[in-house]
Amino acid sequence: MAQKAAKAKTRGQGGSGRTFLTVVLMIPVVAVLLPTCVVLLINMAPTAVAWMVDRARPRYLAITVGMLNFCASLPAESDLWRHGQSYDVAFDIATNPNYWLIAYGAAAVAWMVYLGLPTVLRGYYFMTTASRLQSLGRRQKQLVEAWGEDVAAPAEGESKARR
Amino acid sequence: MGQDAYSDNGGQTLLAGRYQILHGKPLPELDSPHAQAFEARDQRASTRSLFALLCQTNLLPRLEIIPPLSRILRQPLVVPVEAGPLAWPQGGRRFVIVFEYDIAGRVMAGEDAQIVPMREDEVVRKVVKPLIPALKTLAGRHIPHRAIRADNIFYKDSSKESVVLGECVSAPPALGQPSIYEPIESAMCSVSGRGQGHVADDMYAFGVLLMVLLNGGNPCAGRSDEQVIRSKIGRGSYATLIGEARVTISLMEPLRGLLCDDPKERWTVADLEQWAAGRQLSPKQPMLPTRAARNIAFAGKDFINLPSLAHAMGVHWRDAPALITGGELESWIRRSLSQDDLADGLQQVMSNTPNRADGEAHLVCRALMVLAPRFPLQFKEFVARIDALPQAFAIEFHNQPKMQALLELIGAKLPQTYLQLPHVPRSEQATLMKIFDMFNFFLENNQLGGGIERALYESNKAWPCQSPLLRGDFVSTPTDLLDALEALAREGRTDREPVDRHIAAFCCARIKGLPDRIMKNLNARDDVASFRLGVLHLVAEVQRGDSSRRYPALSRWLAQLLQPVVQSYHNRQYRERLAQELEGIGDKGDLLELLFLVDSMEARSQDNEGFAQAQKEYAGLARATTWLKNGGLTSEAHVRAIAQQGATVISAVLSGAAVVFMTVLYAL
Repeated sequence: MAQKAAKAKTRGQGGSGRTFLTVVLMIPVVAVLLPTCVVLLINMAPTAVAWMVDRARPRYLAITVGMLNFCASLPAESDLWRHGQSYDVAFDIATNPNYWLIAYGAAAVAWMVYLGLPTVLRGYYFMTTASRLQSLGRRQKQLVEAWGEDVAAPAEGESKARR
Repeated sequence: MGQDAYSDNGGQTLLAGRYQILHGKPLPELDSPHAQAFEARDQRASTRSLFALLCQTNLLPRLEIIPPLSRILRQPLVVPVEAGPLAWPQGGRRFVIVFEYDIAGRVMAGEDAQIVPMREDEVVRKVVKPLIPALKTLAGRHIPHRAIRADNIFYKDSSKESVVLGECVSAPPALGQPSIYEPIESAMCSVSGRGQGHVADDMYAFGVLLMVLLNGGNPCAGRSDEQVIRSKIGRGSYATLIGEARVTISLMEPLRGLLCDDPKERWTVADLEQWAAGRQLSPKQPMLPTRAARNIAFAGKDFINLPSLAHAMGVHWRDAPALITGGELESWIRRSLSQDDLADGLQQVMSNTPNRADGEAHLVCRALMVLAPRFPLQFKEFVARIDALPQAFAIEFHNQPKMQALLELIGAKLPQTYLQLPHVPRSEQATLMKIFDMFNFFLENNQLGGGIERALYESNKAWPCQSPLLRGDFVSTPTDLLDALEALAREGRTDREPVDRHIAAFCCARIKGLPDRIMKNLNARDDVASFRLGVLHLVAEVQRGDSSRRYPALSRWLAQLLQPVVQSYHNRQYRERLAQELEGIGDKGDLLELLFLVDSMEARSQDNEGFAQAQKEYAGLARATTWLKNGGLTSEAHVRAIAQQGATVISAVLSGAAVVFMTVLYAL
């Protein structure tokens, strides 16, 4: 137990170390690409919310929302870079509701897919289960007809071999 | 022998395709003690005079001596012409022996009959001289006749000047002999325990025959067999049989020689021939047992010699243990007979015999081996020569009390103890020891194909099958068995399987190298399919011995019985096909084909493999059904997990498509 705890501790220390390193490495990038990051941060707000809301592991909601949200943020980023990635342009773009609509709309679509898919799947699975049970029952009946009732007996301890 | 050629020819039964047995014309005057006589005719020689003996089904004729006897020509001896089993009109298959009927009436009508006493010269002229060639021929072929007695000699013709020896093949040896004609050791035996005997026994019987003819009847009439034997032991056979009669010195010589109680000293045919030719031989002096200094009382009588006492102890075996263990006998042997070695032997027997509740008979038996080693084996009321035990086992098979004694005797391994006695020849010792060990082996194994039935057929190589299923049919070979079963099937007596304990044991004993699987299946009585497969396998193996013959009725019988075997296959389609094929194949009468059809190794293996796979598949299906019914697909957790993954995938696909779209758009 003690060994396990020690290992977990070491692993925990390693994880936080990596995060720290990532943050340190990201600082110059953010510093250089600050306008880009600001626009991205604003457009990706739904993903951040999804990240916080989704407590499950892996964070499927965050990933689902995040991928579409990120794609939908790309037109704004593209526009920003086309206009030189200045703070003014970044401000304009960040306050442009069209870009919000695109980014947040994509995020909303992703969120709806995430929320709606179980209902769809449930219905599908109910139908599949009924059909598969029917098919299994049919095959079992065929086996009993071909080999007799004994076929349903456990294989071990049942042998009609005469030799 | 015409064993395989028999048929019923409109009221006349035909043997070997030639000899008509006129079953409507019995000849009671020619009946043997264990066989009924009928008129017979030779279809190829209508002038030939014949008669046939119909043998009992529970006894075995002397099959081994029929061929050599049938080759003896022009001798004063009734010899068989043809023999074999045939379908008897009154039902069943019976063993019949055909003889030449060139004899006149019997010299004496029966054992207790009286005739006008023959004069000495008449005896020599009509009996001794004519019969010497027959005795010589038999002795030369080492065939003991064992049926030489006054009511089994016939006048050769109506002139009554010469006699002929009667038949000796219709029943086991000496089975019809009155006790008086047997030497002491054989006379002591139960009738079934006399055994094959020796030519010397014939010479003794011939001596008694002369006595009877001279006397005009049984010289010991009015005395019980027991009294005669006691007298023979005490006074010698000659003195017992001659009684008060007077014979001339010339006839006394052969009578003393023939009736000598020591078989080694007894006259041979050569001695008799020399005497008949006029040569004088020294008369044999009786070899009487050693007299004791004083009598010993037992069972209300006084005894002065050990053999007489031993005989009485065998007869009154229930009283004997008190005499043996009381010490009186030992003291009498030491003091009055001065035979310390015998007394020591007796003491050893007492100390070695286990003190069991049923040990008295064992004690007496063992004690008698010491006191009278040359006497036959005596156990309770059953007495037999050691070499006759296997045959006695067969003859007494249906006699419950004697069989019980025999089984006890064999179970206690007393025959093996007897065989250790010094007078038993080494050659006999090894052979008999093997037989008795075999008896013990099979008596301990009471399965089908073993038990007392197997012991019976193993120890009596030609004994007919005693199965109650065969209703007394004479079945002495496996082929006969199939014929008898075919006849049963034709009569529609198919309410049970055609194999029982006797038939199984009979087949095991007669057919060497039967596969072990047959007995394994036959002994699986709880599993009907296995048992019936064993039945079919057994009869098919019998047919293998003569595969050219066909048994359609038996095949149909077996095909009906094979339903459980068909049902033992798992695959329904195969079962249906098999049942159809069985119906067709039953008519062919080929049991081996029937066996191959229902017991194909390949089909069985395929069926078993297919069934195992089907079972596995069924179990998998059952598991899947249970999983689905338990919400394997529709459970909340499963749906959520799949939906989450699905949503991620959809998002990824849409994202990918969007990136591609945007890239294309900006590129343009």
